[in-house]
Amino acid sequence: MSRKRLDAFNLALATLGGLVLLLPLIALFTKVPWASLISRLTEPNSISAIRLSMWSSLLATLICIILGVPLAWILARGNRRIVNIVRPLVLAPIVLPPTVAGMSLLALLGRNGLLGRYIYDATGWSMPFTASAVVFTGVFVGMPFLVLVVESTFRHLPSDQEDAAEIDRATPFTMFRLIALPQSRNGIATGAVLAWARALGEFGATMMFAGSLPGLTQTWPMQVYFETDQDMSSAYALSAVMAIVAVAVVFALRKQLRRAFAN
Amino acid sequence: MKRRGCFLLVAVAMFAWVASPSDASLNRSSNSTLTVFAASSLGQTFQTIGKEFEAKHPGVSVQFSFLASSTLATQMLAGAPVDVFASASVTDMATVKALVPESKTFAANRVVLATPRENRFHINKTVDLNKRGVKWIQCAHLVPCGVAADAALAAEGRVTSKPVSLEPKVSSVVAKVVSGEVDAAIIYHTDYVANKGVLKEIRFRDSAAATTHYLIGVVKTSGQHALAKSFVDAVLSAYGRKVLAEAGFIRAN
Repeated sequence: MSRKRLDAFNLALATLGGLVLLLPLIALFTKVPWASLISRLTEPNSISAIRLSMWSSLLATLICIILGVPLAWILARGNRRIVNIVRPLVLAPIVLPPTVAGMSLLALLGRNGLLGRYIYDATGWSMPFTASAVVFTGVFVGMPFLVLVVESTFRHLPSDQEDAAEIDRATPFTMFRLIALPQSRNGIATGAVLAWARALGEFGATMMFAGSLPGLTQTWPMQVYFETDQDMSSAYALSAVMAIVAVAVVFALRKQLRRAFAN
Repeated sequence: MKRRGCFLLVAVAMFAWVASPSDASLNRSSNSTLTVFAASSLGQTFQTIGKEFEAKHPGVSVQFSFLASSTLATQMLAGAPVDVFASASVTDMATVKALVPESKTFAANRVVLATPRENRFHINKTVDLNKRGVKWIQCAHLVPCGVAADAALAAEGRVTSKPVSLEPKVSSVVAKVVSGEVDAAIIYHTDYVANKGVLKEIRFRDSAAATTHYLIGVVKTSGQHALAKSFVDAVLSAYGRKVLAEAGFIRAN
């Protein structure tokens, strides 16, 4: 094949690839009942699902930041050999099927779980079927994204300030707090938004681990799933808002995302 | 280079394994596949009946999808390719009336309260669900097992506590009570029979309210009407009835 032909061939495949990704979203928006959108989103069940999803995903994000930023720092600056083994493990939940994530959480914190058994025997409390299970699931699936982005940010900080601080005998923690953190605000924000979006969207693992009760554990994505059985238009309305959120996130972060994943 | 070769070898081996015809796919490629959508609670019995059916019809393989009848009905309305539908409620069969114009009632079942054998809260009657700290679950309100559970509880009238989860299908409810993740669950009597070793059963007083009926019919759009019809007949046959009765289903008609 001539070079020109190859280019045309490439362009055709690329167009097809783009359409595969774009058309489903476009189709979704054609099905949304725009006229009754607000009234469908303000039905009691929708409201409580949206409210639960919002606060639980935001809380999960906060926990991701508190735990994930230090973890990213250790991965960026720790012993190479250890880090190279640990990093893939902490990033694994990114590629873990949601059902497997759900099984893992049950295996750990269920009443007969590795840790859950002792917690239940001691306190009579177990995490499944509580809102904390929704939050925990969000942390589990969201934190790897934050760690991925923040670690990359830490790795690419200009080293001059840290070198200077080291000469002045600053402790590692001081360097982390006064030099690395302030310069990484953008990266942390990007990672946090990604973690939030992931936690907000989680469905399978949450349903397996937290169950599904309107008002308590029935999240926004679960509400979409259950609405498909009774009212498709409401399911489309709820889906559309989630899709808008997703598109808004990737647009708002388009520069940061390119930087984060290119590095 | 060495590593890449290794990778390639594994990839080729995987592909060869995936592409090699297994028993099931041999059956399928040589002949026909019958797709049966059946209520989640029919899982074990229909698999038994399906095996017998395959034995009697060489070259035919039966493919099941066991989900909540309401979910299956939705999928059918969305155009899922299916030959036979077996619903756990009259309502869900009515939903797909246009697709399954003729159906027959072939069994009935009733919901019961089940607890793990290790019954920490000493749940012996339905009102014990009100005890502080008890975690119990049932099916979602639109799923047949949820509809029956709601009706049974309403007839009982004394249970004031709420379930901690409304599960998408009865098999999810069963899994969670069998594993001891919850203290009690409203499942079918047949689910209890299948898990007698680990569960304890408490019946609702109003058995009519707790009962649901199972209907089966050939889907109009099926490309293999005759075969679909003979599967329906197999379920209605003496053998089919025996399998269902042994699992604890109530004979209908």
